[in-house]
Amino acid sequence: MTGPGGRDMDGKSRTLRTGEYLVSRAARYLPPADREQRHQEWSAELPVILHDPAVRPAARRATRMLWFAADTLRGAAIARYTSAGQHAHRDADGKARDLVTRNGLTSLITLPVLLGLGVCLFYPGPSGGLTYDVAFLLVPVIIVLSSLVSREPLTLRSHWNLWGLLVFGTGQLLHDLAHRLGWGHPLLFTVVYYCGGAIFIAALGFAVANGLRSGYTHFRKVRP
Amino acid sequence: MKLTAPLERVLRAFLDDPAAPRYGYDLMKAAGLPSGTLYPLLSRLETRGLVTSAWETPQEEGQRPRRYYQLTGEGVRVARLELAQASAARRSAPGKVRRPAPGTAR
Repeated sequence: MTGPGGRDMDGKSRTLRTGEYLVSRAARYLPPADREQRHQEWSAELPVILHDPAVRPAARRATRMLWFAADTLRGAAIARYTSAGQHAHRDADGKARDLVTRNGLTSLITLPVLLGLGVCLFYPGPSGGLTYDVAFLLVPVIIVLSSLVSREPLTLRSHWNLWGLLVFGTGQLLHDLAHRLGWGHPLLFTVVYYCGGAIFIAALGFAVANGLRSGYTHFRKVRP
Repeated sequence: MKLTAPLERVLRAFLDDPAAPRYGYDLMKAAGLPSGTLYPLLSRLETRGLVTSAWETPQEEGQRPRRYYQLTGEGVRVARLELAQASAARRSAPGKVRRPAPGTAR
């Protein structure tokens, strides 16, 4: 229940509550021993940012506070995936086992699927492009399942790529189904299809840019 | 500890007044870093014993206590050493266009 000015009955604004929600989500990524303290620390900064007299106008303060909370969530999520990856790599034998399991399992199942995709491009068969769509959707599902089996966590970027592929593939499948079955409004599925494609391409773009930057940094270090 | 650009900014922010306690938001503004970059960095510095943190005593009733950070003696020494080495490396880098550090251009 809210009072005047968008404040709830505790006197907190919606903006502040949104920021508190985001930092509480960020704290969940932390180890249990650190969670409560970090949550308190981040929550204490929010009203300070929201009432910083050096920042004007109020909308800018609110934006800065929300950006603080959202970026804290980003940093906590990345730190979790980074540390999880590091822990998985501490044990060299475990590392070798996990990579073999994940890569081996992924290759074993994905390769025939990719070959099937290639065949479907030239010969869709009686189901038309639907076989291709289903096969395309199987690729990210297989990668996720093999990651679960090997218990090696995927990076955050991999998650973006996979979700992009899933949304892209789902939109493509639904679009083709709608076209085949004569459903109304395949436009919705086309939008889903292109949104997924955009997510996937953006994540790939970041991956390529980071790879190029790392390569350039390495090249500068080793250049005599 | 590898001196990355964000780490360099944080250390410079601390060295502006090594004895002063700094809140996370103040460090963000001084170093020009987003919170998602700053807090993991502070956590790593604290783990290595270069920074300590403590909770302030609230001045008003109902006020949430804030956490502040401070360089340790070892942290001051390491920070000065690392920044001096970084500055020396930039000066000695051949063929580089030398830009003045922010705030020092005349």
